[in-house]
Amino acid sequence: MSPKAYLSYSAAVILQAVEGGYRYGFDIMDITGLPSGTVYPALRRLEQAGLVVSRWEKQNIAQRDGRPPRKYYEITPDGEEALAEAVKRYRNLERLLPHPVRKIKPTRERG
Amino acid sequence: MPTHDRKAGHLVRPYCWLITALSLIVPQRLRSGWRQEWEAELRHREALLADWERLNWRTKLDLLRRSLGAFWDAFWLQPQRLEDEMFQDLRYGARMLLTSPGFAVVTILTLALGIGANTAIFSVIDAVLLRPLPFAEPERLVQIQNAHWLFNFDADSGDQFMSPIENVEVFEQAAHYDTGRVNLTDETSPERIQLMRVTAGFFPMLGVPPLLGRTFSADEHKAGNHRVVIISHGLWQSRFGGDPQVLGKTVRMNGYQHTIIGVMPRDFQFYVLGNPADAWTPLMPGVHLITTEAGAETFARLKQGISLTQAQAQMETIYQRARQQRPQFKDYDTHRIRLTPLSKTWAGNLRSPLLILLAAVGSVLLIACINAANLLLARAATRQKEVAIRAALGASRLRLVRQWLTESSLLALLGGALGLLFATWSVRVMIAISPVRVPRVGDVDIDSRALVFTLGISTLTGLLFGLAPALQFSKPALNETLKEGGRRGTADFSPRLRNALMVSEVALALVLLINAGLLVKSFRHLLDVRLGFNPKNVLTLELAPPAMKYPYYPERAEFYQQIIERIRALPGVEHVGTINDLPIAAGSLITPIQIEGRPPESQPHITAAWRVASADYFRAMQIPLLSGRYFTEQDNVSAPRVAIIDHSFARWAFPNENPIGKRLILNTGSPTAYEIVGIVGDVKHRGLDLQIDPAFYLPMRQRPSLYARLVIRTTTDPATLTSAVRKAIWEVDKDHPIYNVKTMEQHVAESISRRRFSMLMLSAFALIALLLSMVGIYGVMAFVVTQRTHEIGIRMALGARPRDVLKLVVGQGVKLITAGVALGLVGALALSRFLMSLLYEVSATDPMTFAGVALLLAVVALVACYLPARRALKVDPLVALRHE
Repeated sequence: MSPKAYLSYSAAVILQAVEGGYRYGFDIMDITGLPSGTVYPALRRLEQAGLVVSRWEKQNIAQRDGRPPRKYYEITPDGEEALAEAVKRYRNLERLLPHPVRKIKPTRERG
Repeated sequence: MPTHDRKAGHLVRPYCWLITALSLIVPQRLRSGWRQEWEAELRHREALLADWERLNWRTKLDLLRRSLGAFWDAFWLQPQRLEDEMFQDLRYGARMLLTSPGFAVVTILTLALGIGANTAIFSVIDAVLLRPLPFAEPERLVQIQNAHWLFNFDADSGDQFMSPIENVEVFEQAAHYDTGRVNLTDETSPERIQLMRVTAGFFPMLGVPPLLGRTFSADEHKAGNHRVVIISHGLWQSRFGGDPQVLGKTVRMNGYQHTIIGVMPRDFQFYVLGNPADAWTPLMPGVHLITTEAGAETFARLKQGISLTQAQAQMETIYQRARQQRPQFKDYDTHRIRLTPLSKTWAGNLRSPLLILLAAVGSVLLIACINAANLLLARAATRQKEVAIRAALGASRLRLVRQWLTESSLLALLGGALGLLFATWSVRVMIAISPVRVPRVGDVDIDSRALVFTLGISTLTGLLFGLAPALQFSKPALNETLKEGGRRGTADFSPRLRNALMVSEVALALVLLINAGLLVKSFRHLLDVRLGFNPKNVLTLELAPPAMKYPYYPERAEFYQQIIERIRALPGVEHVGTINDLPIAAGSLITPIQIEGRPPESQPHITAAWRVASADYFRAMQIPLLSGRYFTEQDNVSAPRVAIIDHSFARWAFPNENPIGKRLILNTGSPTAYEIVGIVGDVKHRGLDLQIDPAFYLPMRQRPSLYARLVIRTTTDPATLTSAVRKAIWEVDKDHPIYNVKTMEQHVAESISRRRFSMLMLSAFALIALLLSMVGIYGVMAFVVTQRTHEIGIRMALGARPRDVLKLVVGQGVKLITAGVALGLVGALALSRFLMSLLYEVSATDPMTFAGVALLLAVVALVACYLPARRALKVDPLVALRHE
């Protein structure tokens, strides 16, 4: 899909969160304050549009924690362009997320 | 994808149960990944919270709340699920079709015929009727009939002439034009073109800017400035090779110099009598340029927001007022002013034949649908077990219906694709046989609009014929069907539905056949019409000596006479004559006349057709002499004035007297008397299907017309003489264009080409309908026989004779066919009146046609029934009883 794809406001916020390093669905909810019913469908749309890609976490980490592997999202070059477009359009977008990424407590990796 | 033991924690994690439950509506393809993502996330969060020792009931509730969002996530994936299932259905459908290629081929062919015929007719209707006219806001353009009530006849300039009509409140603009053919000459060969003379409002009203140059200025509608011409894109290309420097060049039209000031774009086409105009000049009252077939029309642009009804109401007021102002017209001019949308008048009398054809192809498609539905039903009956198994395995009713509809749509779309090929081919055939002079028939094409139409009707068709089996078989009686261990027959689908379909199929085919039969009969009547002349071996062409070069009678008569003499000398020529208006090909000039010696009050408004013929015209056309004599070449200006009348004139004006020696008085300029010297036979002048107007003929050498048709009777094929004739004419006048060279037989054929077109098309569709319904009946009966093989076997084992079996099978068919024929007769009676305008000397309820066609259909239908029945006779009881 073309990087100029129209991003809704919430999709732009979510994309910005992914770009900022909040890669898991629940982390994105925490940082954006959006409910899960918004975040996940938006992630699916972004993935379909080729603006983010998803990967599964390494098996050994999951095994160590005794749970299934988590899925994380990464922004693609197309996604970065689309985000740049969106930032121009939604002028106050930049101010929404703390930049540069400052990890908040619950998303801290366990050592 | 990593797997994990998820079950472990479910007992204490309600949010994980929720995810598991919700995952059921996620597309299967995505399900396990989806579930894993949510569970991993929830459990990761849960672990973190536990780590921080904050996993209390409040945080648990928060996790549950978050997991509820999974519902929206799963919901968002629904379209993908449908998509997946559709592909599944399609794959499955295609596989099923491949397992019975015979069924698939017959169904697809049937649908292709129906859809193709519809696409073809649609593309014709689209080009001729539906596409908007190539002008600005064409829906506001109206043609004004009997507009003479709106003109200022005392005007000496175009502006004044049009002023009353331009002041009409409901009109934004108005324009008037007349049209005819002129000789166009410059350095190259002479050419005859279709010219329109238009008033100042014409081009502004149509709102199409010229491609090159400009349109007429107000000044150019004043005498002295009016020798300017705008040419069409076609003429620009053909005569000037698309030369961009064409502006400012001069051409001679009927001898007068005109300067080219503009070229119109290709899309701008204005049709007059079905011919596109080649050039436009300003219209000036009193300036004569056009010499033949003058058709004058007035049209206007309605003001924004004015409806046709409102405008028509105002016309009525104007008409009433004008009648009071012009009492001299009051008695005999009762023609009211009428407004018609321009788009409607352009389609002219082709509108109703095309709509009838549309109805006909619609019926053909309906028959095709019924056939397909019947075939699908029959096949569905053999697939009951498969459906039952699918239902037993948990397929919902909706899913089963969708499966059937997918299969039928697949068939319909394949049929549509094939139909498109069929349509492309048949459109070419249709254009080839289409009547002459149909506006915009050249634009007929299978274009994107036709493609959309095909896609649309294919989809609709698929739904239509797929619905019957879909609804009937999506609710299988599971126990019954599965228990029967694959036995067919007893679980037959509703015979009522099948019978109804077959009856309606027969009825539809009969309606079409009867209508086609009526048209064929009309056409045969038309071919039997006595023309009053012999069209075989006659070559005709147009002569139009320009008025500037031949201004007076003697020069013009001499011009015609020289040509006649030169052509008469050619080998293979028997007789040569001229006539002002050629029978069949041209209209009639009707003029008031008086008969000498009768008081004027005893003969109010006697009118007759005025013809001007040369000495040998009657011999060339083989119009019989009934009494008196033909004209001779001695009937010239210095001889006494003479006339010949036709039979109907004689019967009408001289019922109990001998007309020979009586005198007609013609009131043109000064009253002139013409002595009747002969009576000739009647000629179907205006057309085969139109009444004969009483007519009189004047000798060409006494009253040479401004234009004439040359009529040459040959001893050989007339077409071979064309070049010799052309040479002979150019010997007399090298600037004279040779135009409209046609045999008389061609003129006759063209005059009935519209009827022939309607007849051929409707017959073709009726035959397709007949063929399709026969295939349908055969299919149904064959299916019934297969279904009843077991029963027939038992009957035969119990001693039934072949005759009984035949009666059993055919009897069922006969009942249905009889019902269908009865229904069809009623339908045809109700519908054939729409055909009235296309019929000639045949009543819309012609009993012979009705009975004959019904009988034909019944016989053919019986044959279609009998063939499968014969197969039933060959049933071996032993085999049949084993036929489980």
